[in-house]
Amino acid sequence: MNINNIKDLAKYSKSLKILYVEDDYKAREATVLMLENFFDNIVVAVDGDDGYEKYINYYKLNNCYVDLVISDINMPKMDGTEMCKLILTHNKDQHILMISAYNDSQRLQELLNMGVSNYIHKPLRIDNFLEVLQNIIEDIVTIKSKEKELTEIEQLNNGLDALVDSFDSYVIASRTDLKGNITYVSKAYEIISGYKSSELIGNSHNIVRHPDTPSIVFKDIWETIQNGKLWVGEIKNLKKDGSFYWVSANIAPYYDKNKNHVGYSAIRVDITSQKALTILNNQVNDLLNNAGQGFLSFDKNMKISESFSKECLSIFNLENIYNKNINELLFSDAKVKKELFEDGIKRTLNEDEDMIKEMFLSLLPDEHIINQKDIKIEYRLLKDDQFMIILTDITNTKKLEKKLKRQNQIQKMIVSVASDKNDFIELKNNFEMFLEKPIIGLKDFLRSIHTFKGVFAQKEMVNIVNRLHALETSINVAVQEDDTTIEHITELFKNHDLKSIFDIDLEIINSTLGDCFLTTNSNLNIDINKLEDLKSKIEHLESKDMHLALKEILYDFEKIKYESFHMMLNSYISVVRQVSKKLNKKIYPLVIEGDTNLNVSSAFKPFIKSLIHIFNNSIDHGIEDMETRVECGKDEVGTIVCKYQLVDDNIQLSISDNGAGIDVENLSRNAVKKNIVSQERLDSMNMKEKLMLIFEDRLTTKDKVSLTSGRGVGLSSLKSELEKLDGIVEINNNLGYGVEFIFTLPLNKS
Amino acid sequence: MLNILVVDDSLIIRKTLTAQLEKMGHKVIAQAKSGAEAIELYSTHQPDLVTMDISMPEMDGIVALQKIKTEYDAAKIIMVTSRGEEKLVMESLSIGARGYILKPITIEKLDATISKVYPEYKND
Repeated sequence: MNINNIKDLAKYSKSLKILYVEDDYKAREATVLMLENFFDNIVVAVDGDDGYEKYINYYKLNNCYVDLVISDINMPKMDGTEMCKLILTHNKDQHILMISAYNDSQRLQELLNMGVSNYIHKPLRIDNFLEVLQNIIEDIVTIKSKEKELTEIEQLNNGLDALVDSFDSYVIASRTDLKGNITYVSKAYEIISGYKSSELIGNSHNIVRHPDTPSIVFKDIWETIQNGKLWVGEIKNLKKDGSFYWVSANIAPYYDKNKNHVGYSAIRVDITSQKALTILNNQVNDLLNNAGQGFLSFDKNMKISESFSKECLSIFNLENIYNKNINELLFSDAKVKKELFEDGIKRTLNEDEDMIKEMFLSLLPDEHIINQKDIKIEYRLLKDDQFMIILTDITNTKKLEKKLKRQNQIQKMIVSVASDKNDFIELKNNFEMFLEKPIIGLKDFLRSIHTFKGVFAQKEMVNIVNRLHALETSINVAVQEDDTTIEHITELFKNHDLKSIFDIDLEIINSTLGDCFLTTNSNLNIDINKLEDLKSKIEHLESKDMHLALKEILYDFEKIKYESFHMMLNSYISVVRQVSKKLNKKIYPLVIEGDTNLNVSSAFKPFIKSLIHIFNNSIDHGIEDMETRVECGKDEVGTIVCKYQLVDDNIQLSISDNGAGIDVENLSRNAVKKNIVSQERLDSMNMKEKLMLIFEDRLTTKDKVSLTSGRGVGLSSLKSELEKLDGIVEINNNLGYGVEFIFTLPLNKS
Repeated sequence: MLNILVVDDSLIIRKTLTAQLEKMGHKVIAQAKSGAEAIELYSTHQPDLVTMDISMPEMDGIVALQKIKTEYDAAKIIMVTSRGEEKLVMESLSIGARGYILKPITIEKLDATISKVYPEYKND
C-alpha cells in the first residue's frame, strides 16, 4: 500500500481510534488541534496513569484496543515508558508512537527494546509527524486487512468443521473394504447401533443383522453392489442391547482418488419411528377391518373420506364408497330419515356449542334396514367439521329380541291355557266347530268373531287375536263398500286362514304341555260327599214313584257337573287388570261379591264369557282417563264392581262402574245415523228404551276402533247369549257418574 | 335444589314428572297445562329450569319456548318429547332449548339431562 498525500492519508486515518497522552496543557491543546485533522476518534489522557486507565476502559467498552497510542515520555505519576510497558503486556501488537525530547535517549532505548518502534522528536512538526504517521497507518491498514482475511478463512474452516461434525453425528454412515469388513463408522452409526466404532471396525455388518431380516435381502444387496450398482431399501437391524432399529439405506461401491474400487459405503436414515407408525397404522386398520363394524368419516358436504373399514363395503354392498354421499348411501329409500339427517348435520355445523352439537347427532336416525340387514348407526363428532359413523349389523340381535318377545308371549299363553284346561278345551272345540261351519248370517258371524277375539285375548293368544282383528276389519270394509255377499265374506274368511294360525298355537301348546294335554277328556273336581249322597239315594230307592225318584237322581247327577258361579266370574279379575293396563287406565282391582258356594250349570258359561264385552266397554268407554277424572272431582282411580245374589230362583248379577255413564243422546244420534232406528221411532222411545239401543249391532259410542272395543258388536252378542238363558237386563245409567248393568238369570231354565 | 316449572298438557305426565323431580331433591314450583300458561307462570316464578312438552294443543312447546327465550334470554328449558318428533327437537335446540328427554321419562334420563344444564346438580 502506498499513501501518497495527506488527503489519502486522512482517508485511511479518519476511522482509526487514537489514545493521546500528554501532561503539558499547552502542548496537548496544540497537538489535539493538529491530530483532529487526521482522526475522528481521539481519547485524551493527562498522564501515564490516566492514559493506562483510559486504554483499559476503551478496551472494556468497545471490546477492542485503540489502533494507535500517541504518548509523551516524561510525565508525572506514571511516565510514558512505564505506561507502554503495561499496555504492551495487555496487547503486545499495540501500535505506539512516542513523542520524545532530545534528552530522553536513554528512555528511548528502553522503549525500543520493548518493541516500540515509532518515535518522533519534540517539538512536534507537521512534516515529521506526517512521515511517521504514514508508515504507521500503512502498517495498521495492512495488518487489518490480513486479519479480515484470516477471520473469513477461519469462519469457513469452522463451517466445514461443523459440517463434518454434523455429518458424523447425523448421518448413519459406514464404509467397508471389498470383503465387507468395516473400515469406518460415523458417530451416528455408533449411537444408533449401540456399538463403539472400535467394536465395529474390522467386523462385518453381520454384527447388526436382525433375525427378522431374511437372508435374501443380504443376498440382493451383495449382488447389486458387486455389480457396481446402488442398492436402496429398508432394513431392520439389531442393536447391541437386543432391541432393533429400522433404516432406509443407500449402499454403493466406494472408489479412492484414483478410481480404484476399494470397498463399499453406506449411508442410512433412521426410520424406526416411521416404521413403528406404519406398523401401528396397519394394526389399527387390521383392528378396524376385523371389528365387524363399519367405520367411516365424512365431511361437511357429506362426502365420505378415503379411509374406512372394510365392513362398510359389505354393508353397502359396494366396491368403493370413497367420495360418495353418505346420506344417499344410508337413506336413499327413506325420505323422512334423509331429510332429518340433512337437517341435523346442517344444524350441527351451524352450532358453536359442543354439548348442543352432540344433542343434534343424538337425534339422527339410529337404525335403518340396509340391504335387508338391520343396521345400527352411531354418530361421533370429529375435528374440523368432520363426522364419524359407526355401523353395526344388529340383524341377529333383532331376531333374538323378536324371538325372546315371542317366547315371553308363548309363556303367558301356556300359563293361561294350563291354568284352566277345561275352559280352553271347550273354547278350542267351539272355535274349531265355528271354523268348519258355513257362514249363514253376517251378523251372527261378526258376533262370533268378536267374541272369539275377546276370549282368545284373555288366553294371551296374540296371533289368533291379531288375525281375527284383521278379518273383522276387512269384513267391515266390505260392509262399508256394500259387498256383503256370502261368497265374498266366505272368501275373506278363507283368505285369513284362521285354522293354520290357530294350529300353530295348538302345536306350541302340545309341544310344551304334552300331546295328551288337549286330547284327554275334561276333568271335573267332584265333592266326594255329593257322590256319597247320590249313592245312598240310589241305594234307598223305593219302588213306588220310581219315575219321580229317577228324575230326581238324574237332576242330582246334573248338579254334580255344576260349577261355581264365582269361579266362572273370577277370570275377569285378570281381564280388568290386563285391559286397563293396555288402555292406560287406572282402575282398582275388580272385586267380585257373592256366595262362593253358588253352583250353576255349564249352560251359563257362554253368557259369562260374553260378559267380556261389558268389562271391555266399561274400561274403554266408561272409566275416564286420570286427567278427566281429576277435573270432574272424582277419585283418579276408577272402580268396577261385580256383585251377584240369589233372589228367589234367579241370580241377580250386577256389573257397575263409576265412569262417565252412557251418553244416551250421542247413542241415539248414532243409531239414527246408522239406520238402526228411524228418527220417528226414536222420538217415541223413552230413556230406558233408548238405553237398550246399546245392545244393537254396529252401534258404538266410540269413534275409534281398537283391538279391545268399539266394533259395536260386543253387546249384541251378549244379548243373544242372555236370551238363550231366558234372562233379562236392566240398565241404570247416571250420565257423568257411572252405569250399572243388572242381569236377572233364571237358575233353572228347564 | 332447583326451582322447576313443569309444562305438559297431560296430568299423568305432570304428576309423574313432579314426583320424579321432587324425589331427585328439586322443587316443582309450578305446573302449566299449556304453552300460554307456561309463559305466564315463567314470568311469575322465574324458575331455574323448565321442562316443556313439545306437542300440546293450542300453543305448542316450541312457540312457548320461543316466546320465553325472547323475553328471558337466560331461560333454561329442556324439551320433553316422544319418538318421531326428532325434527321438532332439533328446531327447539336451534331456538335455544338446553336439552331434551325422550319419553318414557325416568329419573336416570332426567338426571343426565339436567346435569348437562347444571353440572353441579349431578346426582350420585
